[in-house]
Amino acid sequence: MDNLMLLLDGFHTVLTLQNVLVVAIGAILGLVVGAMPGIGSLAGVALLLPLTYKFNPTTAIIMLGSLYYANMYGGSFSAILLNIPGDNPAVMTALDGYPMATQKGRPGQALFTANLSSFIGGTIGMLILTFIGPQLANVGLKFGPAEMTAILLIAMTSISWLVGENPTKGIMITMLGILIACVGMDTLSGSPRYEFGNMWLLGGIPFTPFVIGTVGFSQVMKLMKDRYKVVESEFMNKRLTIKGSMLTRSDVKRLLPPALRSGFLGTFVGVLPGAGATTGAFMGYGVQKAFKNKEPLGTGALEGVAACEAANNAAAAGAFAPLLALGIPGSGTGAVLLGGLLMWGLTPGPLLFQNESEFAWGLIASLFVANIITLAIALMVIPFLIKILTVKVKYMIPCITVICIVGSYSTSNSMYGVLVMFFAGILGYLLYKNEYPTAPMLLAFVLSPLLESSMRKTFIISGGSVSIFFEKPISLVLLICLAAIVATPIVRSIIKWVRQANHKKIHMS
Amino acid sequence: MKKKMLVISMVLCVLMVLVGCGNDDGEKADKASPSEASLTSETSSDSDDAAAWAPSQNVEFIVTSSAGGGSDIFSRTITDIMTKEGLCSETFLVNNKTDGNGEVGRYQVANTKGDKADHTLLSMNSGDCMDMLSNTDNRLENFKTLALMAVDKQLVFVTPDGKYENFNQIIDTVQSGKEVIVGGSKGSDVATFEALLKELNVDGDLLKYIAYDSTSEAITAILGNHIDMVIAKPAASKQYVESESLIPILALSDERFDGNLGEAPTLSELGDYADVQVPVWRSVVAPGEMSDEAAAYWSEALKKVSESDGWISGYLEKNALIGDYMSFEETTAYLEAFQEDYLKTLEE
Amino acid sequence: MSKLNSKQIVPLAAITLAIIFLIVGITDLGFWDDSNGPMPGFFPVIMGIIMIIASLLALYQSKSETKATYRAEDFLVILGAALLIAASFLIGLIPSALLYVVLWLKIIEKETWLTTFKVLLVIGTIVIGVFVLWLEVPFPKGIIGEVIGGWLH
Repeated sequence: MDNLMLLLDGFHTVLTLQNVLVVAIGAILGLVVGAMPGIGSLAGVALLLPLTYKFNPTTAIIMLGSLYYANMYGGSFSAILLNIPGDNPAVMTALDGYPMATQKGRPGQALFTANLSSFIGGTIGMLILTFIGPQLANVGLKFGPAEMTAILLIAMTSISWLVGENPTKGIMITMLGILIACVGMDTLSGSPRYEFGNMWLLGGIPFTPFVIGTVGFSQVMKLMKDRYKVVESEFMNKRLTIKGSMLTRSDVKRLLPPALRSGFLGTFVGVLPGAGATTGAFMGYGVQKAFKNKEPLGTGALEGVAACEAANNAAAAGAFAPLLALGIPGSGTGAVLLGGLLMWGLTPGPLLFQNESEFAWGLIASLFVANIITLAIALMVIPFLIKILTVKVKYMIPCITVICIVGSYSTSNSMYGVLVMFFAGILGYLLYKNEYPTAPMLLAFVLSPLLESSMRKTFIISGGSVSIFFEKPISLVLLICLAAIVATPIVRSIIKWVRQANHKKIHMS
Repeated sequence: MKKKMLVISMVLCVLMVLVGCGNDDGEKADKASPSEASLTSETSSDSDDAAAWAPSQNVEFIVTSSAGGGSDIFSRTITDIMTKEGLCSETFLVNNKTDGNGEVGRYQVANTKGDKADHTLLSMNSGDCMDMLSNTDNRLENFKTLALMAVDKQLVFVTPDGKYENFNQIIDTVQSGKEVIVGGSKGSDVATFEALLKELNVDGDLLKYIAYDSTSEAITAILGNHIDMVIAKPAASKQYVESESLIPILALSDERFDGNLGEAPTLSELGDYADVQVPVWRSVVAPGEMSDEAAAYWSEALKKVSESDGWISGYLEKNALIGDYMSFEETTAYLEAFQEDYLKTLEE
Repeated sequence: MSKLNSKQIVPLAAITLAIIFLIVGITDLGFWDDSNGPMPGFFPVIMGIIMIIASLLALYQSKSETKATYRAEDFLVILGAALLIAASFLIGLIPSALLYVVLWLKIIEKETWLTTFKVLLVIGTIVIGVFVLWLEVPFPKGIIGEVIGGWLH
């Protein structure tokens, strides 16, 4: 209960007119930057950090918090409306959000779902942070290389949920993602690999331009055939109003279970070392596949949008636990926030809650405030945003192309990003035409470097012996889970096969 | 037929783009020196005396880490102070060039020519320099090494509930043929570790190093007792020492550190060893083609930065760094020696 | 032997890529070290092998699949983007991008100047307002842009 009192004190510090105004400004700026592909939350927060210098530390941190949060919201806007993920975690949102907005004709509901789930996920993450933040951070420490290897192996199995009808193509495309991610510096040996003497490849293939290309730019090519399709104006006029955008009661009922589940899962993922909001969103979506959905995931299911949006915001909140309690940034964005905190002379870490208790709780309170105000603002702009869908496709084609190019340039201020985007776009288009799914490739791209480095670290510690995975209790439990996950479908199909065989026999006789 | 034409023109286009990109740096260097511009600057430097050189266009400060990273904060602190103290009247454009692990940015600076060369700066630390030397043909001779701004040294830490209490125990364990796992960040910490291995004369298969992406990841690993000891710099570790979650057991320096890090002995105190230290430095460099006048100007401006209050209290103290400004000549000599030493270790 | 189509070319390209990764992985990078376990080549080599197997299966399956059809129009997007990128080295990225929008709408969509201008205004505001003015992304000025910049100074 102490924590709750301290949190209330925190609210007391935070809730002034100036702060609320600043949060609102931060939210709007964050939404805009977040919606632009190429500028993810990392670059967004870093670029907007100087804006906050003008304020006192509390106000500045609140603004930063709202920027961070609004960024995550903004990323889903462009993913749902244009099928271009504004930031990396939104890759998963696009999978169901875009079909929901266009094929199902429910853009308003898709955006509402994304924002409401983000809010729920974020709130769960923050509540957990409030009550057991430091303890949770210590649990995160228990996850060493062996445990991370096991958990990442489980995460990799979630790829199999995404492969679609043809497993062969799914496996092939997953491996392609892994091989592409192998290019560049190998941290553990300190030497480059697969760079083929090319200086640009020393740093590897950058993920953000790759995503903009495979998802966004290839989308433009796919749009070419629809460019003269006339939007049914009556239908759209009805749908594209605030009234037509509201979630129905049954929508909310469908939204809550995945959002709550992903909220807890995401928070946990956020606490783990090295895993960030993107991993959180991928895992949230993967887990949702295992549950019952009213519509199949990938075809515009509300549950899909809810699961990944709640997970990525929860992961963002969860990442604050190790950041504040241990001074360990869980992600790149966390590192920038840490830089911001340091700039005001505050050192996150084991002593923060003792030495700067008022400030630390103010920060947590400000996250709550930022979350609520950002939600309010995001909901207010939805009716205006969905009008984007009434813009004729033929006008969108050159515009999206320009945004893809400008956005990918901005990721590293170089034409290299643009070229990666360009070729990834062609690759994405070819894969689409030949019926290969791209989501497994992107998931593998994100997870495999983590998996490989955890696995190799484990083997360095164990001296090349595999037994380490079975000696550590957490990794043993995780591996048993993995075995169960892998075995279940196999056992199921064997049972099915045996039954069918019996059935046939009966028929034969 | 139409389709074929389309394909051909597409291929042509892509080729054009590729060629264009490959030549990018060269072109930039050429176009950056329109004869007119360089002429005016030459005439002006002829009439005035050399010290009167001053920047006449926007200054590009290239940083090879992403926004918010260590080098980024270093560079932005310098540009902020220069602007605030009126050391440079022109605008600084901080440009984060992270491609190719930073090599692209370094290569571009090394090949900047003409007037633009006088208006281009790059932050380089020892880790960047080691990467450059081991992975590319780019050498410090391609740069004007303007000034060394700060130096950092490392310590070895263990946890209170870990296997070891002091460094002697670790030496004993390794000498008895058992493994000890060491963590640290990539880059400069690896070089320090290698120097330690050499001095202790033990095998890398016994004292094993795991390179993490950052020091904070390595500290996460030791806080969970997944590794036995960690190499870290004071800034990253002092708060853990204060909260008693890390214990310093060895100073990788020729003298003990101050404050709560002071209990850690140097290696020579522990036995018949020489002290091991591989200082981690942060410097500002410029294109090799930068004129001597401009180099003198920037070196002097950086000196004023190093003496400013904003630098000492706002950067050095906050990051527990040792302020160690070196002038143009001193820096050049120091870094030449550094390069020579490092290339020698690469050959071994 | 029937003519190859893209359904076969994709797995064939994948096999080629995997073989390159496999060879480099085994010869240059090293597979397994007795005391440190997997070396840099370990992971890519294993993944490469799996990829080759999957690609061979995909190649086999592709025989019974229908041929992929391509629309020449779709490639206009690639062509346009390639021209935009090429032009950026000459006149800079932002002018190329804006010029591209105008040319696309005029030549391909045959729109009126008014509509073209409207679209240009919207995209121009976003690109220049957000990326150039606010976020201060240092976009390349191109050869011509640098010269003009030099004159202005």
